[in-house]
Amino acid sequence: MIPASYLQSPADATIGIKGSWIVLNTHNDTLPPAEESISGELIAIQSDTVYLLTDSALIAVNSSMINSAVLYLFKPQTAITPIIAGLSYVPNVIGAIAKAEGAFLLIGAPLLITGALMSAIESAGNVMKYPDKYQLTDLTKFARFPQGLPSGLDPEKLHLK
Amino acid sequence: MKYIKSIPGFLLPVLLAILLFNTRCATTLVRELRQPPLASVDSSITNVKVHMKDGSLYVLAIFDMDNNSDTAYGFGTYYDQYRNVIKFNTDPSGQWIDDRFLIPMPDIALIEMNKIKNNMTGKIIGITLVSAATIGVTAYCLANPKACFGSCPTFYSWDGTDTTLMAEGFSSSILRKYEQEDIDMLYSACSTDSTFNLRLTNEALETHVIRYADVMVLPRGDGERVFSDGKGSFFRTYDITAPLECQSPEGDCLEKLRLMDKRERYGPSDPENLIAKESVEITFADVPQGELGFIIGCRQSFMTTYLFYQGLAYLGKSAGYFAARIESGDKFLQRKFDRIKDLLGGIEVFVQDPRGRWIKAGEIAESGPIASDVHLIMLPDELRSENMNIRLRMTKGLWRIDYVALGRLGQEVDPILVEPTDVVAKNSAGMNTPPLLKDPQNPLVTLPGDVYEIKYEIPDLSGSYDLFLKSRGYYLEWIREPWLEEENHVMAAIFFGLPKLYMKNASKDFKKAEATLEESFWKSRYVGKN
Repeated sequence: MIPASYLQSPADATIGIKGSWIVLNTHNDTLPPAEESISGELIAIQSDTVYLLTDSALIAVNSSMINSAVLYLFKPQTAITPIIAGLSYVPNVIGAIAKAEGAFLLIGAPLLITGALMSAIESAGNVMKYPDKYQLTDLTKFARFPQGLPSGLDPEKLHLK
Repeated sequence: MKYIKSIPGFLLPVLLAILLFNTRCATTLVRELRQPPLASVDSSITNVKVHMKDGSLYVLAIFDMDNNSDTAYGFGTYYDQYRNVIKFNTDPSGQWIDDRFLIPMPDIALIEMNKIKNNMTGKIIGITLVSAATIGVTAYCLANPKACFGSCPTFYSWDGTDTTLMAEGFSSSILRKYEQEDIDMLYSACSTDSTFNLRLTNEALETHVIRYADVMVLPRGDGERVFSDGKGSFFRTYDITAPLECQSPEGDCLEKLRLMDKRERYGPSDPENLIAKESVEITFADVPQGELGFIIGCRQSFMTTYLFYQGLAYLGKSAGYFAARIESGDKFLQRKFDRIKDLLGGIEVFVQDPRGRWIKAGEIAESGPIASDVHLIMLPDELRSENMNIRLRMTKGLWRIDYVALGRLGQEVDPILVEPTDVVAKNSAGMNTPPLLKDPQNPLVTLPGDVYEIKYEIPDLSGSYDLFLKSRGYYLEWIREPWLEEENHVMAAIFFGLPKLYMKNASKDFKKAEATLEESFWKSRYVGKN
């Protein structure tokens, strides 16, 4: 579950002051299965270590332990387009009912399909996935500290949005 | 379902093509990090984040660097490494309220810049709507947010007794995608000696991008005027005749239409359906022989402005995203925006033929609620009769008609194009580098409150002439904060997806605002009357 404050609009994401939300899937023989997925704000990536801030603490995860990661850049822009497409399709439905002709439905089909597909594409554009498309270093720029952890940082004072 | 089987097979690839065309539209955030210095020359950039080595952060609307200095400057907000606000020198609207930040260059770790990219075009597209403008918002604007002054660049000139509003440029060019050339008759313009002056203003919470603003000079004879048919042709017109009768749903409208004098015929909107139509019937007597043209001076009411702003309000913070989608070539969304305009429609001009049938002669569809423009509709010869009846059909409450006349068309005239000789900033944000309005690829960009004086040298002509303004560009609305309170994506979907239904349901809300729209609009201008 991604906190709402980390799912900003694309425009707000350009001026956000914290790192993007990241979900790590890790492996560790010493961990119980329930702790294989960790999520939090991406704080920094440096020296083969990913630092993320969860609701309880700042956690350091060695990159060798990470199976995969998903970084969420902004809120998926999926809501409106399919609604508009769907509502635009209503006249076709009414026409089909009135005329009892399926052709009315098919003529409008591209609108619905386009809306659904555009929705699917938009839901993919807001994430970065390691190792599917990106390296861990590609995610660095979306950390709170893309320059690396600053010296003298007190982890106790870090807080999520 | 028998008709499905009869759909031609060639339609299937067409449908697939439509789907493929629309599937490469994912939005991505492109983030670039650089170490200072950014460039080999002094630079000033907007909307950046400056990451300091100690973990603190500047989020800046403006960031200035001088590569000969160890200090950079900025306006925005400064956060500590725990993201607590330490200091800010701009207010929420972006106005500077304190001294600039002095940022030591050696302490800067990285400079971050972001762009929203749409993969379909491969171009980087910036956010095309500027958000959260509250600069200079007047009480009128706050009381009626949909009536906040806005439209496009406004042009003033001397009419013989006063400097008055003459034209508004490219009113429908609300995005770069809608950029177009606009030709407006400067009906009342007077030039003294060999020069003509225009005052260009930005009186709204908008950014205007103007590629050119040239004047067209059209010689005419005594008693003549020159009018444009809206298709690039200009005609000398004489024996210009006022109507004999004018009947509208509210009664006799003759006196309001005889002269171009800002006394306008205007009827209220329909209380049940915003796109309901009405008719105004005009009679001309003793119609002369020859080729005839119907002349009409009109402007839109603020209904389109109200609806446009309402649409933006429903989109709220998503408005910029949708604008960017249209800019990137999303025809689906563009058609949704255009559909509203199509439903509202223009002024249809019908002429009654000798058999009593009403024949459509043309339609006026120019957008713009600020300045009346004058249009010419050529009338077919076969419809000429000694007493000519003309019917104007239009959406109720949408159009304000100032003037109608009938004229005999003389020869077609080629305009003499005059570019500005001089463009002087009287009040400006200082964004533009001279020469101004000389190169369409280097447009003049104006911000709220900007005023420019434009001078033209009129060629030495013996006799009278008419003047037209030829301009091109587009403008971007600033989202007003009160609009954001109305963000409602379901309503946005109805507004754009089922516009006919929306227009029926919106009529009651519009009626509440209608009576005061005109006053609220004019009194919410960003600057006072020049």
